[in-house]
Amino acid sequence: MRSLKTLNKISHGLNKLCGWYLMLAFTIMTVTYFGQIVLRYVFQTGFQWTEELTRYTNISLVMIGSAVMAGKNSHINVSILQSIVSKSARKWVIIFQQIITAIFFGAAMKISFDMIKLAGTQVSTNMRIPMAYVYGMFPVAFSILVFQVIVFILNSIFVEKEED
Amino acid sequence: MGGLLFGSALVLLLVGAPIVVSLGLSSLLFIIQNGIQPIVVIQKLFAGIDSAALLAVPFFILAGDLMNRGGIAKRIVNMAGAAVGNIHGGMGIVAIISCMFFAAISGSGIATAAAIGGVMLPGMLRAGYSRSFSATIIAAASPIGVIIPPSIAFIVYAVLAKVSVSDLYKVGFPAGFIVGVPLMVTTYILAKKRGYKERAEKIALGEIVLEGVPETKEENRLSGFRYFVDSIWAIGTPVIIVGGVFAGIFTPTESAVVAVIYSIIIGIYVYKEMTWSDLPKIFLDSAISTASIMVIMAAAALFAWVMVYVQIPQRILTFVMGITTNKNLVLLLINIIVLIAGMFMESASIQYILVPIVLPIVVALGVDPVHFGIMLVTNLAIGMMTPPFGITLFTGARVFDISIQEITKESLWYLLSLIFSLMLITFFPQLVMWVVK
Repeated sequence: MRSLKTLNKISHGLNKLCGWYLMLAFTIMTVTYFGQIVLRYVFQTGFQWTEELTRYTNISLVMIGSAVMAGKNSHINVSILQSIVSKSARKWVIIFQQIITAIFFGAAMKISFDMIKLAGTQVSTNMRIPMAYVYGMFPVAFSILVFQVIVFILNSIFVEKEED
Repeated sequence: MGGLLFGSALVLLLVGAPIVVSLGLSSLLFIIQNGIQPIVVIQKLFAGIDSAALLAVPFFILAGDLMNRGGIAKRIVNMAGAAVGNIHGGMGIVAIISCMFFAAISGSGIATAAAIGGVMLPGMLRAGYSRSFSATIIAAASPIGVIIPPSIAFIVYAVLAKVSVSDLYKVGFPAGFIVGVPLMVTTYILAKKRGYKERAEKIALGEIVLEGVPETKEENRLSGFRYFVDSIWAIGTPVIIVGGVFAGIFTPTESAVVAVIYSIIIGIYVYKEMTWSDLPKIFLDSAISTASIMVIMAAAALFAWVMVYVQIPQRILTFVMGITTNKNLVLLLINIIVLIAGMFMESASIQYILVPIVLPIVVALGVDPVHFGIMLVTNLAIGMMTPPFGITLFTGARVFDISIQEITKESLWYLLSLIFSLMLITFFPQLVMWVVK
């Protein structure tokens, strides 16, 4: 039980960190994209890299955001099965769904490491940053996601919670 | 070949695995089984949402949240209220008109449901409506958010079908009216039949006491010129967002960013209903909403790639053309399929999977891709309020604090009204297409 407490603390900390990242990422996207519009219409100039930066930041926001949601079991799903089974079975249905989630994102995590290797020395079109860095968001986000899902599963099995 | 792909996706969906996992895992299984490089999974997840046009999604979601919190949504409701006045179902009609107005500044149905539902709650209950009737009106009218431009659904369709967003935006206006007016008629008839007006009078006299309904705040009502000036900022929003796109000043994505900045300034400095310290929370919530939709789009792009890889669209095309070449019959069939898919799946993922399959078919039969787009988006909008997975249904139920079952019981007449509008748009294309021809 004590080790689960530690895991929960790490999970909570990671969530906070991810939350900060999401706010920062969204702010960067808004500021750079708006800045680009102002530069173009007011000063008739602009940067090539702003759009690319916004696109990549958005993808990282989506992936990190997914990790946060997975840890709270809040990804959109078809919830018919869990609403028709009994309360005690419901817990196991959700655990089963979470295990499937961990399997997919676990596999995706493994593949994303290969992707980085493949990216090698490629650089992005406008910012000229190594694509390996860009693709790096996938293993980071997927590792956090899988960790959070595992913590969620452990909590569902070992901690008796009042159903909401 | 496609059996494993669709079969495993369906099983995963039904056991309730997240939609992103259902689409992703079934694609991955297929990829492994057919000896394709698994790396394709990451490439397609990335490419599926790596688009400048799709950046409109996060910005429209954020703008919607900001308009809600910053008081723009509230003013739109007030204006609609002033316009409709005291008739049967008046409050319901106000809600529908507000949804249509808000649709013109918001690109999403959920944002519309949350914003207008939240603002309308006390007013509708005081008008004598039951909670379930009120929630149903909001759930049925807020999908207009994706029909009247700006619209995330149009942008996704434009990316997938390679048609002009501007044309889709234009046909969105008449389509929004074709959907909105029958909803108002339905509301008028139901409200009159059930005598809500009489109940409202009893509530006003204190004969019926409503529990748990917030008091409508006595606001210092502005009048005349000051009211006009106060509202103009809210009315200004659609002018900037949609007008800017029509005038060719902004791309849809740029218009969404401008909407974000505009709502921040208006909410903080003009309406003063929000402060800078509210922003981090709003940004975080919007980021999570964005992730929940776009991660599914990414997985759907992967799924669609696998589908095209095994030439499923071509096979279905040959199959359908072998059975019938009757345009209207095919459109009817597609509508039925999309309605069923819409009951279970999120609308962007349906587009990712369906457009590559059905667009070649309808184009071969002589359907204009823009007309097909507006038909598809209207149909997907209906999917937002159909149980069991209706996203505005959920939002409506949450805002009005009732169960999905209660709202489902009420939704029948509204559903029929929406399907009636869909059929008009499907079989009488000139009703909407006159704007672009």
